[in-house]
Amino acid sequence: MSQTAKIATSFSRYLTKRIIFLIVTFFIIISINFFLPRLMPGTPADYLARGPMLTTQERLKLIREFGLDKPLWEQYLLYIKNILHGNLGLSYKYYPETVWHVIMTRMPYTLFLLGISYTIATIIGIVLGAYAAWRRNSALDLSTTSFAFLMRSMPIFWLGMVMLYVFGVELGWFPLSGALTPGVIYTSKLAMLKDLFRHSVLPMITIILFLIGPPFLLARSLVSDALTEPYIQTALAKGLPLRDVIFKHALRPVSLPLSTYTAILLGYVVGGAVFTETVFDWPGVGKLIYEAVMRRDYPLIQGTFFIIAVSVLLANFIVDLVYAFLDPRVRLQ
Amino acid sequence: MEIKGFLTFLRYNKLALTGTVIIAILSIIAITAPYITPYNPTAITGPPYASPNKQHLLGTDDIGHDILSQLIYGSRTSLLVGTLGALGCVSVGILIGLVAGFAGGVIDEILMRLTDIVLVIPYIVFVIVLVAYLGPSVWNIILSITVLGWPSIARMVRSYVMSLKTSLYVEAAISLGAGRSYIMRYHIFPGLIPLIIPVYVLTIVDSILTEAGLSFLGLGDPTKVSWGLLLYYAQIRGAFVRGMWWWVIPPGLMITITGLGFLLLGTGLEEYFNPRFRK
Repeated sequence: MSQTAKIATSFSRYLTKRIIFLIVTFFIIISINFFLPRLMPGTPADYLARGPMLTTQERLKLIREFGLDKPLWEQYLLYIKNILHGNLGLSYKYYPETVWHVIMTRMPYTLFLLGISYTIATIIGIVLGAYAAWRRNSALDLSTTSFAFLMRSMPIFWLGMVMLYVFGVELGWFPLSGALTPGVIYTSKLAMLKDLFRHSVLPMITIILFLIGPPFLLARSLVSDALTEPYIQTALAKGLPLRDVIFKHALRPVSLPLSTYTAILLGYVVGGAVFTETVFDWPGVGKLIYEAVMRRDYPLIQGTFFIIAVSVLLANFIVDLVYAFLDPRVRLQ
Repeated sequence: MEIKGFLTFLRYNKLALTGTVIIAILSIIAITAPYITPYNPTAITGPPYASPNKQHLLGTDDIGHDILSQLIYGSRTSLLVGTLGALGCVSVGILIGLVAGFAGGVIDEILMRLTDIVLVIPYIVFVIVLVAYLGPSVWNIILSITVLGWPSIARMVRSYVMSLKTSLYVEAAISLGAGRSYIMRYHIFPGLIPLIIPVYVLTIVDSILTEAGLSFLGLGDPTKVSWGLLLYYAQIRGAFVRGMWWWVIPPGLMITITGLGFLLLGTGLEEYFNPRFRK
């Protein structure tokens, strides 16, 4: 068998395993979502087809669509069918909007906030971690490591509240809440983007400070381990530039520990989003889950949990595939 | 002997010593809370929204509760949920890790896939949803932390068991006729305890932060005073907009200091038990 054929087989075997895991987990998430409200006292219709403004007709329609008066197994099948069609029910709070629609209008805000902060935090974290490992016990290493420790024990929502107080209330540099100034009609796309940017500075800095820790500590420990390896010593002895040695030689073989790490980190990122969006009143999916819980808006709780869990699942799946593609050791595990 | 050795270690490791001192002080505060608080934390003892003054060193909240007394009592909730939640995670983690590692085969496969699944569902969101359904109480928060916080510990315990299982001295013991319980008692447990103690202390940090976060989102136990709940009320009653920093800064600082205490102790214990970490 040729080399490429071998790689293709090992990759496709790995892919099959990951796809099976993806499907099983998807159905487990659906099942958690289905059974949790049904473990509560009362009938499911009390939780899932309710709302202060719901008309009797709409209530009956929801009961019929989700089969809330049918036996459990029939409800389960209907629930899966509905979810696969994007029907997550009606929100109490945002009546008459559907849960699906409410979540999808919030999603871009969260992706914007998290996408930018996550990228910046990872880059800063890895670079600082690599240099801290290189200059072990220097002032830079000690101060960045203590900072990472401090951030690890600090509640992110409190960090956000303090930022809001100092830079929003006291200094007045940034707006206090939301993503856009309410009631403003923008003259151009650029003006709107500027407003969005002004609103996003504080929440972004908060999330970045919160997210730098894990990549920093990971890069620091991986690079300091790698620096004792003979091939790094050789590279250094050859006189290769330090930057190339750290980033091309020392950091390259680390994708194996990274794939487990990504799963945990993604959960961490989502947690950061929930708290930061709540403090800064950022209209994203994270704040939506807070609103849903506050109002005991059960269809919305179910819907946000489902969408967040499935998004993280898919993100993990993609990351795993990329790692497997880049690093043969991953797919041979 | 173990304790004496650790005390010697503390003398040289200033960070671990700091952590120990922080935890000791907090424990004393939590235990003696009824004797050192100026007021009953749940009684109305002053005008609402009072600034710090002689009667109320940290002012009062929107109802007229003494903030300092709430702060002192809050240590109880934090330490209770922190230690018991972490205990739950560690117990479930050890159990699943041991079973998976020992049984191998299909059972191992099932348990490890279960671990992967719990790990892939975002922890905080899952805890929020679970507590929202179970109802906000200290015990439900501890239960939810237990149900969702065990996977990484289970993985660690399993890989430890696996490495022992293939080690020569365990193989030798088995070939000499050692039974399962013998191997457990003399080969697995002695190595497991130094592995688990630091992890337990570090998990306390996560449990404390989880409790604070849930309380901040309005999912805290309404019958208990806690730091997260103080911040929740501060947030929804607009403490900062009113410039009442004394309502917001102290609870967050207490959470951070408590977390830091356990983090420093946990890292110290890691170095103590696994000299590999000593640098």
